Amino acid sequence: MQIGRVIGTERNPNTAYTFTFWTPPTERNVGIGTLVKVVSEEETIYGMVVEAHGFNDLASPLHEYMAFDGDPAANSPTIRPEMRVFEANVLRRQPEEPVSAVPIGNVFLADEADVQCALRTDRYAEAFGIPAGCYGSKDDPLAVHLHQEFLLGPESGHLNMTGTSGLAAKTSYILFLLQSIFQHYKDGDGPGEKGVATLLFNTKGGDLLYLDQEALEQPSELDNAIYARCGLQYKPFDKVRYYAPLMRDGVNLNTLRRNEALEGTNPTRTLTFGLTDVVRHAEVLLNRDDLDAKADGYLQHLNNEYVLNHRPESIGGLPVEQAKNIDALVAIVRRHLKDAEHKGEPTYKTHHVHTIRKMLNRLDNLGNRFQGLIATGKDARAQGPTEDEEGFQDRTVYVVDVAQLGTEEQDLVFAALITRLRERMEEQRLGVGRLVVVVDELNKYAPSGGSETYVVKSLKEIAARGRYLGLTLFGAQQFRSRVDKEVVGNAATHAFGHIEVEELSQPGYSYFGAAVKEKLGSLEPGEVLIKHPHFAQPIFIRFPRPSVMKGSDGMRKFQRAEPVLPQDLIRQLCRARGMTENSISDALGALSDSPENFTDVLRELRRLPAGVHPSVALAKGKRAPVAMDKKTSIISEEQDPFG
Amino acid sequence: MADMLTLRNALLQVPGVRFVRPSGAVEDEMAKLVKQPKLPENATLVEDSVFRAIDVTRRDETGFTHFLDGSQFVRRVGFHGLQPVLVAHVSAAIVERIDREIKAPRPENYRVSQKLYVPSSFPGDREDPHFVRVALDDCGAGSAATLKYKEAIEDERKSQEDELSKQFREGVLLIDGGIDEALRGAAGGKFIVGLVKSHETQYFATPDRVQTIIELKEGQRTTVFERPAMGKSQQEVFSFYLKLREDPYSSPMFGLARIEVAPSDEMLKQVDAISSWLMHERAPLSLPDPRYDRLLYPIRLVEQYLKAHQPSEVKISQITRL
Repeated sequence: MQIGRVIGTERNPNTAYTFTFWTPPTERNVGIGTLVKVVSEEETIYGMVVEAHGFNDLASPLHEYMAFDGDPAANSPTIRPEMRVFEANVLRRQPEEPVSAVPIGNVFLADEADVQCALRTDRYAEAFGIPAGCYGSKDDPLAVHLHQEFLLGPESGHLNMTGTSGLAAKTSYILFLLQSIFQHYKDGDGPGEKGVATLLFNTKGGDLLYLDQEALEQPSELDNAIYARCGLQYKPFDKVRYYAPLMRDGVNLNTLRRNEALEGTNPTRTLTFGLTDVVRHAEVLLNRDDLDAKADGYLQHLNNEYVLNHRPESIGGLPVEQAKNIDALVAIVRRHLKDAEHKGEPTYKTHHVHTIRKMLNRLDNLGNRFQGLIATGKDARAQGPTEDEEGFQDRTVYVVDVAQLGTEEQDLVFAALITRLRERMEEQRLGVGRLVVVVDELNKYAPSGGSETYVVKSLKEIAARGRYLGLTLFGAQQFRSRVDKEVVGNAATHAFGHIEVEELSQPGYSYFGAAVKEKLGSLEPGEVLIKHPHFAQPIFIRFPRPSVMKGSDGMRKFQRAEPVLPQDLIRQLCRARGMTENSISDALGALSDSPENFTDVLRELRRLPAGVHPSVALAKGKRAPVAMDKKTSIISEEQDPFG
Repeated sequence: MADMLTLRNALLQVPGVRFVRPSGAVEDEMAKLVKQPKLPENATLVEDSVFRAIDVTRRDETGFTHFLDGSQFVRRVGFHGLQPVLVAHVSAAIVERIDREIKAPRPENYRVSQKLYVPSSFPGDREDPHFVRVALDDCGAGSAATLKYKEAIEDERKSQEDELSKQFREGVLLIDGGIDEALRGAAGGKFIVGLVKSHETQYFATPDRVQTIIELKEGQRTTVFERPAMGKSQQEVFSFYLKLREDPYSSPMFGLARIEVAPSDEMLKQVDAISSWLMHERAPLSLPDPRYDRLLYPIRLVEQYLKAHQPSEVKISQITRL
């Protein structure tokens, strides 16, 4: 149905990319973000409304005041004719050439076919479309598709999302989009282009800890309609792996998911870092003042000679084993000091004893400061999503829970994982065709104008080259203006939820008209403005509540268990893997009951692949000594013919 | 209605026509010209024996449902000899008001013509419908001739308004102007009111009656009198003066309108109600129109509608190509 007509005056003419049209005041379906179609004899133009004006023939407010004798409640027998005038930006035109001024024509609301044509999704929705939400009224939502190769690569890639925290904007939308990707992604033709996975960091509360659980709340009618229109099943993620560091006791996991029911269905895996990570990310672990050039030089010497080298050089003529954990490294540093002391020299191999003593102090403290996160013990291997032997798996969500860690610890986790991902990306060893890394609080990890840390460098690398190599960054932040421009600028798709007015006043938002900014400042949960390479203009779309359990619901339903002793934890894990109580008791009884032994067995149990019987891990523990007495000897003295 | 190219072709058939740049100055000239009015005599009073000011009871209601007005757009496009050739777009419409909204006129309630006004001596086919031949007699080429043209164009407009008002049936119609032609030959029962803004013709000669009129306060009317039959219609009407607005620093005619109704006892009984309706119709204001003191808003909207359909200057220049 026709809703208006294009107008162009001498003072305010239409251009090739903007036009103005009027509607009667009774037309209620047009507003900021509405898609419209202009039909003239020569062409069809699709546009999006970016500004709205309403006026009548009143020349001055004083005339109105005079007409009613200053009485605002007075009525007149005739109301002034009113009209609405809208400005719209052109999305697409047919035919595409010549690009001329928008003609005077009739204006219609865009229907489903028009929306697809306007957004150019008609060309790719079938083959490469990833539904990103729905456009249109709540009564008639129309699916909007992003192009897979422009969202995840290789044509272009990465998503950057801005939204005020706490308003169900960023995380909710990203989770919905990931659901859509998992259900609609189409593998490429090449051998390294099969499968898609995602890695997320849970940095606060339990928002991302129950992605494999069904939402407790029933979806609303609108949510159901959007899911249906987008061709999505309303269900949680099928495959989710959780990783969390250990607590300081080195036994219990430091996560809100510490719950027997959860451990029974989807056990949380251990996240630890080995010695190479510690040395490599010393800048994260130590203060800036600690790591001057001399200290850095000594640290590099330790790394090259005793961590990476399988045959380290001797110290004072005595052989040295390769350091496998932080304690071993500290011991080596002590030996350096002793050697220098013994020789009465102020240096050990050009490294001054003051420098060595300083590093001893800092390294010795690290094990304490990052207890639970840095692997200790004789088999101090790094564990985590990038260490799993099978690599990233198709349609699997990897969640790294760092919510219970302090800032420094979170920084280490983040720096190490992002660096490893970048390396895997360079070596093309991701294991899936596309890995989506979700990083929240980008203004913290890649601040604009900040120093070039490992993390910043890695994020920039990923942003610049990731799309060719299968790594896609979904970054989110509250303040886009405070994020490194390269990281933001390399994202091809941008999403904007509710944004505070102060942020909107930043120059980076000058691209948007005043009315669009106003709308962004008052956007409701469940709405985003999306900018994508195929859309000539950003458009407003709706998205539904994610189909996973909310963090608050999960924490209520699966209450965190208190820390337990290692043997109790072993019992829990064995029970979860199907062992009977009796067999568990027997197995435990056969083990040496030292806490260290139980911790080692626990570590082995946690590393056990799915489907493997726990006895394999239990067998690696130290056996309890068997007590020999006269009553239990196999051959008794009376029976021994030789005794 | 003939378009501009058709009118141009009609002119091209006639030898001796000289095209000039279209000029709106002729409208200004016409506006200044008025027929010399007859000297007034005191009109006969019908409501009361005393000609006095009567307070109108104010009510926040109106009974008007329809509004009629006409408009013209005139440009000089050429000369034949010394006589001008004019093009005039003349139109009239009745609009209806529903739920306080003025609606665009239905096709049957809209009249329009676009013709060339030429002297009667203009050569060419005398039956050509594109031309209106104006009898200039021995007016010469000056203002007297211009006045003749003006009258011819106003006659066309009046005939359109009259045609519309004659076909009006149901509702209460307010006409911008006199209603004598609307009443001529009409069957009874039609509720029509006329609002006359100009006061070229006076109906009272004696100073006391004139004083009563000019001393009316806002919201007062005069005693009803009989306006004698005049003009083509020869139809008498009942009339009274109504002071719509007052401004002590403006002319005594400020806000003064003369109202016409059908000459019947029923209409006489309605005069108070009609007056209060007219007072209620003063909002919204018709500003910035300079006639806002007497131009009621619905009539202004009719005018706006008619003017919106008048040709632009660019369109007019299609005739002359200048």
